[in-house]
This record gives sequence, C-alpha cells and structure tokens, in this order.
Amino acid sequence: MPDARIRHAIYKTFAEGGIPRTATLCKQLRLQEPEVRSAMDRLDAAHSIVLDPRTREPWMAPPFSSVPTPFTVEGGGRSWFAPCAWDAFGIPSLVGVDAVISTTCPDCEGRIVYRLEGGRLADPHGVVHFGVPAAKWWDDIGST
Amino acid sequence: MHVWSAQSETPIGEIMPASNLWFLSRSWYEGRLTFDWKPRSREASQQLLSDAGFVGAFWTLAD
Repeated sequence: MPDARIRHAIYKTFAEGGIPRTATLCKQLRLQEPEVRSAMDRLDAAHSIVLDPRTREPWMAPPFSSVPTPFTVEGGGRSWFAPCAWDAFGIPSLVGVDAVISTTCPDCEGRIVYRLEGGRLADPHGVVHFGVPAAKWWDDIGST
Repeated sequence: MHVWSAQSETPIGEIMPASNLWFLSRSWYEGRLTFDWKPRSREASQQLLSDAGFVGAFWTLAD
C-alpha cells in the first residue's frame, strides 16, 4: 500500500509551503487517483491526516492546515496556517526554522505575536485556553 | 478571558501558560516529516502531555 509515500508527500508539500492536492499527489507519485484516495481515507481513519469531509481533499496534516486560520506562522521565507495555537507552536521546530507566530486574542482582540528563535521561545508570555477535554479531541477534530 | 467566555457562551476549559504549550508542541510533532513516522501509542502521548505539565482529568486521552 502506498500510504507511507502519500503521507510523506503530503507533509513534505506542507513543509515546503505548498498545499497538497489529490491531483498533484497522483502526478508526483505516479499513482492512479482511486489508489491515492483510498490511501488518504485510511490515513484519515488512522488520524494521521484529516480530510475535508465534503471534498475529501487534505484539510489538515497536523500541525499544518490547507485552509486559512487565525494562526499564521512565517519563517524561512515560507508561511503556513496552523489549525490552533498548539499546532502553530509545533511548526517552526518541525520545519527547522526561526519563525514568527501571529494570532488575535479572542478576548481583547489584540494582536498576539510569538517569536521562535534558535529553537527557543523568545519572550514567553500569555496563556492559552483549551475548550475540549483530551478524551474528546477526535470527536470533532475540526472544532477542537 | 472570563468576559469572553460569558459573551461567547464558551465554557472555560483549561488555561495553560503558552510556554508549556510550546514545550509540548516541540515534542508532539517531532519526526512527522520523516518517511517512517508512525502514530505514537496512547501511553507515549499521555507521557508527553505529562512531561509538559498537562496533567489531570482534562488531559486524559481517550482509550
């Protein structure tokens, strides 16, 4: 099964600042569309990636998001959207770049910025709110 | 945050320092870009949470 190849290609595309799409994966890996879609369904079921429930295209490969979110990460000449604060913090070390994370406080609507420099969180400050208990994260991962 | 919670009708869950979350995120996603990455066991994930200070019933993962 090509699952590992497809998962790796999805993550590599995200890491390079791109958005993985089924058609591109087919071409890149020289696989037929049904084969790629079946593999992505299995990866989704295993919580390795998350497919858009409507289009069945890659939606999230944590910590990356294929759609705009309130959490942006910029570094190494690339930029990404992260599904949540947790994921935003994970991108710079995963990709291996210094980065600036930006979001907006839902309470005061002020801009929040974190800088990741040399593998360290510069000027640690602030708190993060978690609304969903860990046992229920995968009940509706899009809302988590 | 409690004002936001009341106005948005969002119950307060858990509030953690951002520095703890950064510490957790680094280890949580380690290795995801490698070809041979495999999902961690529930126990290994629970340990990562615990190591970063995320302990208690709220942070107990599903079986």
